[in-house]
Amino acid sequence: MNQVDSIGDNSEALSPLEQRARRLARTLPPDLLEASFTCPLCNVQTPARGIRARPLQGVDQGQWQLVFVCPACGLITAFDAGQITPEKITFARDSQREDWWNELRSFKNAPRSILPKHVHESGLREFWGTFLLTFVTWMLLIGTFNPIDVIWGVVVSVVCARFTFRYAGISLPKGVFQPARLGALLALLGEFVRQLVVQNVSLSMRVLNPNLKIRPGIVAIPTRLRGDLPLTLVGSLSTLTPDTVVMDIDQHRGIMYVHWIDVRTTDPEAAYQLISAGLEEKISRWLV
Amino acid sequence: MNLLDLLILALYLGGFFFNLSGVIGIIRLPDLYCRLHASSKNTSLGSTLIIMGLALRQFQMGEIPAGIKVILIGTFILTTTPIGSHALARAAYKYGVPLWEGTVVDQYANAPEIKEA
Repeated sequence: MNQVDSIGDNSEALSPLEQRARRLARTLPPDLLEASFTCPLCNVQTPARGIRARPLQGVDQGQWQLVFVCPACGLITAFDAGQITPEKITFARDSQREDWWNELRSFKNAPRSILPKHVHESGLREFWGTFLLTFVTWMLLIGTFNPIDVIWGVVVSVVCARFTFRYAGISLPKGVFQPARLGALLALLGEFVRQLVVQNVSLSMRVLNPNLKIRPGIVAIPTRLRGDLPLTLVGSLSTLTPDTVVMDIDQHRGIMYVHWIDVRTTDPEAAYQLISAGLEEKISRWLV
Repeated sequence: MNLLDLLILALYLGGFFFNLSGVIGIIRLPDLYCRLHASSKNTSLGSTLIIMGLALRQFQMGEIPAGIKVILIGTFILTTTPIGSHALARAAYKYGVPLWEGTVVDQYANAPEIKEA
């Protein structure tokens, strides 16, 4: 555990502050690596992993955090660098390196330029998109064009959009609703409805069968899709349709962990063919 | 009693059947993860069928805005249910809710650490 990396990479063109953060992360004193911060979930000693910038909600700044990742359960514990005290982390030995603590505490605010991307990518366009979506929903729910209702709709939508537009990170690629692509969208919808009905009937039969024939298990299946929107789609649709509930998605390696109520194979490729191949093919034909 | 009435009745009955089997599944299935299957899939299709029946009934009575509202509610159910069950499953696993002893395989247990996006 001597090589400690700063969490969150993309190393091109580092700002001076980030360089300083990485230096600090790499020079964590050996005492700290032996420090016994016990994981609150599983009581395992967790070593420090480095420091990272965390975006603060509602403002364009962020905060530096010292991060621990539990080796057993993967729980991530982070302390704000500006307020961390030696008492929170117990050392194996006595030396508590006052200057190191002071340097860590001098990290207070992380500037905009080094925060994770989704914070400052959302701007006016996302704001008006969220506003429009909220407003249309409001008008559909109210159903009248009474001026008072319209004004209230504008007020409510502005408030909603102000608080949520930063999370509206999904934007549709260009040309998705062109006539040539609409066929693919209809095919996706048809496949979805067909699988929804078929799989629900099969689940009902399974549940109502007196023998309760289930072979549950968690399997890892590959996914060939990349990007937020396709992965959200395939995750949600394959939670609703085949005999699976999505548990986690590893975007970097392209793995989907699903809970499968009737494990027929543990081979990733065969499971992929059984579970999500049809949906993925139709999604990629629509979006890509 | 015309054809549309029969269709609406069939939708209601289908929704009733799937909701009922979802409830039975929640009671009978052995652990939290299996119960999530019943509670997310069966009940969302059941509610959607009932809602489709309701919307058709509203359109039949000429209440177009009410029908649109009902369809909107169905869309919300279909979009939020999978996200909720995904979050529940992941949180339960991270918290250490045990799998049923008859579970065949758990490939999530020794999964490599997943980087935050």
